[in-house]
Amino acid sequence: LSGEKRFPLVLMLEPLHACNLTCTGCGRIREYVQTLKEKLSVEECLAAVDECGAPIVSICGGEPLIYPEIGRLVHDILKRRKHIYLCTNGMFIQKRLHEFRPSRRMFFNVHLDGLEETHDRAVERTGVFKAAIEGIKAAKRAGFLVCSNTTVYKETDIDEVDALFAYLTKLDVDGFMLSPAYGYTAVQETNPTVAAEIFLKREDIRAKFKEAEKLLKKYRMASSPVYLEFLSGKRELTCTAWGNPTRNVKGWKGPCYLITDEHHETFRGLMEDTQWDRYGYGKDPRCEHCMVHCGYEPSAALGVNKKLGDTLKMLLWQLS
Amino acid sequence: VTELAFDDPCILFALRREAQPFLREFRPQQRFRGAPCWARFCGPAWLSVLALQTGMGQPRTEAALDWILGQPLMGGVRYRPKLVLSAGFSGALQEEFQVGDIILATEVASSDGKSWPATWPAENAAGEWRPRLHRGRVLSVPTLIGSSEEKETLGRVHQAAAVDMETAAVARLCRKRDVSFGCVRVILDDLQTPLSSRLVSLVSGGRVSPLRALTALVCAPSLGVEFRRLARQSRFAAEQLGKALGELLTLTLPWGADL
Repeated sequence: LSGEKRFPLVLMLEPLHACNLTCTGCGRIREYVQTLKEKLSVEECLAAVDECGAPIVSICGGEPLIYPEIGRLVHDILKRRKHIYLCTNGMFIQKRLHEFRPSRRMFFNVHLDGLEETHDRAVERTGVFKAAIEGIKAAKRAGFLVCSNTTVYKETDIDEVDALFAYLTKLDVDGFMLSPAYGYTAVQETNPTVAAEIFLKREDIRAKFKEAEKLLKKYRMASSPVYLEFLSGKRELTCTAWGNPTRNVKGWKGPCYLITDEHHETFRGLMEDTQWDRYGYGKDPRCEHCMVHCGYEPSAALGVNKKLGDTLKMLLWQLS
Repeated sequence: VTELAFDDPCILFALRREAQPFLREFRPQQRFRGAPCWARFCGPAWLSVLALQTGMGQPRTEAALDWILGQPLMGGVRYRPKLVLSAGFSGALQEEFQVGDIILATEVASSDGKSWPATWPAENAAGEWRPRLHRGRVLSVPTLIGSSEEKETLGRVHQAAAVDMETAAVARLCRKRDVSFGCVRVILDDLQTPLSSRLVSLVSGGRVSPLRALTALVCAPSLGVEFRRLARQSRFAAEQLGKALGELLTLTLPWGADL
């Protein structure tokens, strides 16, 4: 409405990169190893929320429930009438639940890559799945909205994802996000063998999600139908990297949540100084196998490569 | 000019068995050469701690602590812990505590009547903790206590929740050097279940050699049942201690808010 050509939908706010886990496919703890002891102040976080203006704030990291002032941060962001996804591994939900109040505008977004054995292997520690499930149960009991976020790797068994979603549905989980993993440069550099074993190529992603298509219709997907069609190869979308800008301890991460070429001092700097047309599928080799939701969900929401019936489809999804 | 120094927290375990589950989460990274006992920097880069396995009893704890508080050099850089934690097994002195319960000391007392308040954590850890955290007084005595009656008496006289053999030495030396200290203990044996004098004598030194254990078993086959129970309980207790300690460190230490 204001005539801005590019504007953010979701702020990816990373108050810290420290995490209690060392997940095999995580780029953050590897890329930001020099600044793992640093954190943004609550004031810096809120300034980023104001500066960016996105209606949704995804608080991620790192593990945000390690952030000492997470309760105050969430409270102050909600006061700004924003929606929040608090992305967590779930291990500290029970201990810090008393710092939050249930809100229709806040979700605990719990990362689960499969059932117990698979998930614990992915995060490289036993007992994490159980702790996350306990956290989900505690949050639901206390009246919070909870969704889950599952990353799909080469070894992901779609039948297991089905079983996971069925189990989480019984726990009254409010929605499910699904996204293929991104082959982080940091993981490829530090552990090329593992990277080759776990990260999917574009054609593998499409085959995997085609297989999952029917199954996903059974569940309350938090991923949009247009994005899921893109994943299963039914349509193309172009990446809208600027739709999900990332703020962390080093600044505004550019060009996107996944690739780092520069950290900008200001949000305006990120939006204006980034040569957006240099990035995306077919332009930058790092984007070759990327189909991650942070680049393509904004495209779906903003109607990029729009088809007839998309509006209705998205509306029905929103109402479901 | 600011003098460079490491200030990672230091955790003193008496036994390897006490430390093992914790070290699965906080993986050993680098050896501290010159230490009088097993000493490794452990854990992720953002939350590195120095873990020591001192051996059982006050003299061994004191030897390790004297070395640590003497600012030893690690690659030419001084090490001055910002916090020293005494962690490990303890015996329950009150009926309410069960095997695997965690005692976070408010105060540490010695059998000669001296006491020192724990300076960490400054506040109670809020939220729902599993295993549950109990706050209370920890008593240190020079020998293992096996009889239920003796434990009950100690609990009543010293108003203590649990008993160990090391923490008073930690508290005394840390207070003397003005270093923050805390104590996280897990209950290994409850108040009602006595340990036989044979078992107490067998495990008093900490490590039990297979030959010594076999000899003791031949002399007293009934010891086998007790030994198995203790092995099972100590495995469970160490798991609970590792979990609680890992979570306490993760949620309270990173940016020094509680020190």
